[in-house]
Amino acid sequence: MKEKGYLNLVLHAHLPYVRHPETDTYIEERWLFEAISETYLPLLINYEKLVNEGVEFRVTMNITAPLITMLTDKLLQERYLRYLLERIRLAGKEIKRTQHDKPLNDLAKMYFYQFKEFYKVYKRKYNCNLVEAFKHFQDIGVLEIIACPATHGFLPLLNVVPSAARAQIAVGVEMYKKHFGRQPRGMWLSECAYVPEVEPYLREFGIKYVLLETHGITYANPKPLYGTVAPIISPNGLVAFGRDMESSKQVWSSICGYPGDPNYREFYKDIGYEADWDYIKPYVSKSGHRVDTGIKYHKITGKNCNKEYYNDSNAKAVAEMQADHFVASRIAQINNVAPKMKNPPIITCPYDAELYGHWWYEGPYWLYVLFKKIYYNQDTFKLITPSEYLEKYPNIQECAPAISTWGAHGYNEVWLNPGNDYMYRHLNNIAERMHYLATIYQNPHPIQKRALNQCARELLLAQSSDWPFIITSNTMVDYAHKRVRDHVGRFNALADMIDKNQIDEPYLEDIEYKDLIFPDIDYKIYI
Amino acid sequence: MYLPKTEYYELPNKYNKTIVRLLVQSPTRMYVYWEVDDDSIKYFESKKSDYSSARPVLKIKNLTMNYSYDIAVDPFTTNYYIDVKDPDCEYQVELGRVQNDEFVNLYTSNSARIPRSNPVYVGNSEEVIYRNYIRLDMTDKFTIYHNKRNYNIDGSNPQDYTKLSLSTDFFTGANEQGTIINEGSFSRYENGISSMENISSFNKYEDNISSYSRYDEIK
Repeated sequence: MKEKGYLNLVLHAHLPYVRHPETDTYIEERWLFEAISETYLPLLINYEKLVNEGVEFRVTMNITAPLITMLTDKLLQERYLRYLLERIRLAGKEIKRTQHDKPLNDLAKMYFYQFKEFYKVYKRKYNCNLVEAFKHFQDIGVLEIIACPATHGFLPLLNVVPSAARAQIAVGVEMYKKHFGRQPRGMWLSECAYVPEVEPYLREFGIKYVLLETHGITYANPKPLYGTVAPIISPNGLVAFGRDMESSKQVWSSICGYPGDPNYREFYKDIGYEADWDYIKPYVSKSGHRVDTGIKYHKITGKNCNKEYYNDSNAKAVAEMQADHFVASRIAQINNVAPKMKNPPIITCPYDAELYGHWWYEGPYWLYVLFKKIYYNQDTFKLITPSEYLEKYPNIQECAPAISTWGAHGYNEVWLNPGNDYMYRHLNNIAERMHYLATIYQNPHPIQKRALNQCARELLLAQSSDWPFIITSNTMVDYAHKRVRDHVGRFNALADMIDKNQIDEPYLEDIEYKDLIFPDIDYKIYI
Repeated sequence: MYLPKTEYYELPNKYNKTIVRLLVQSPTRMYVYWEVDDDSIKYFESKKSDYSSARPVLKIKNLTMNYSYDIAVDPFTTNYYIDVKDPDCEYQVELGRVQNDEFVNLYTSNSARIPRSNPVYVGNSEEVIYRNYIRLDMTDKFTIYHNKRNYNIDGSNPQDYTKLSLSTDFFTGANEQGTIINEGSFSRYENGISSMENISSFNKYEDNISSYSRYDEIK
């Protein structure tokens, strides 16, 4: 029986570029290691299981260029292996420490075997290169990987200098082609931030579709016939899929969303914070701060109460029930709208990849059982990627998407507010300066060319939307301010040297080593 | 000059170049920042008299609806948040100073579109166009006529968009030329399970789940 509708699950995997070869005390590097251990490896292991079991599934994924760079960087790969070995050792100590407390001891063993499996999979199976691993799943057809602006720049605010927004897209697409060996068909606009001015650049670099927040579709002009269960196409030919509200709420909602189940693992109870200082010291940061170790023994249990011990099989049972619920909800949703539509509905569900595994520990398992239930237990809908859907149903209602983002309140407030607005005059200044340098230096000599390319890198790194985001969410605020100052400062220092034709080679080498991203960048993209 | 490995940079206080830039924050707010260099000051003083005693003013222009108004700003301010009265319009800002009731424009900003914060109003009929996403040619075109104006089944004001919470509330559900009679009816389903019921049934489901915390005891 032919399916009546489709589910398009999209995972957005992004981390800001954090790589400090000068020292290993930056705890911000741990963001990468945690993401690998809690999200990327579990996802890959589950994809592999599904393929081996013969389960048909589809996932759309965005892996941003900074993340690709970090995942393929030798220094960070070595540091990650060391991180895993530390965790294995720590889990081993925990097994000894908890030998008289069976529930805890079972959990310690669970972590021990988990970390050991990760080490095996990461080192031996994937040879430390997770980008190749994701590429493999795209090559066999179960994954569609889409591109993203170079450093996840927030395009609506960067587009005041058009060459800046264009270059973000150009470099993002280049990076994609280099690592995945093909032209990307879709793009994840950073923060789903859409303005019509970016359409010419998307077209120029071969992007056919983007994913937008709900109101990017529902507020489109004219009002689309089908809300977000069908894509729209702009007058200039850009296709847009919109986030489905119902399925998003079921997962994301902090009130009634799946991850809040009392049986699930409690994020905020980590032995890094709970254990005795002398015991845990070697496993937390070198700078003396307690940090997460990844070993957590408690379940959510409830609000404002004593947290009970986590039970792995109970949590898995809950995940299975929730997967059933999700499937039933989608069947009801599709059955209701499909008869009234021209083409079968497509329900688009974008999530931060980090939700699955890092914030919601059971997330990757939930996805695994969800895909199996979709495949085995029903035939109303199938998983699909945007490209496959467009191939089947290429005729799309013309509506101009609405200016929107998926940030809090739906527009730009998160990235532009009194806490972070100061940076834009600097970002725009160096963007204009880059455009100017690219235009006048048509035939640079080798060291000038290196400096010009490094300026381009500094500009891109300064434009990362993570810095204003971090400032607004009040997490590693000082670090974010420093990154902006450093990249703007390095840019200006190098640009001054270029103008004076006095390039300090050791300085350039030092900066090239520290900001080792986009090795093949050509500054002329800024003309 | 070789900087030591531990670098420290300060952001410049000024760039010595007159600029005014307009950035959008939301349907109701925009942000403008600026700088005025010595040449602009000289220019002003060639037209009028003393720059420092002239009132700095931002002229906010709504290019879509064709009106403008002035906001006086503090002489030492270099940025400002402007409350927007009309969303879904193109705006532009002129920075100038006023002397003897005359506004002298020092710099005009880029224009920027303030987004809308509601769906586009649908009149009595709507034209629907389909395009092929590769060839971009038109593949279908039809018109839908609404018997009644947009309304929600509970009778609430269709312009009250805060009441529309499901994406299917925006669903018209036509697939060919014709007349729609009960527009907006898909937010509550006549046949089949309502997806909204599924969300509220999930809340009931939470009660079921709480029984799992007693599972350990049973085990």
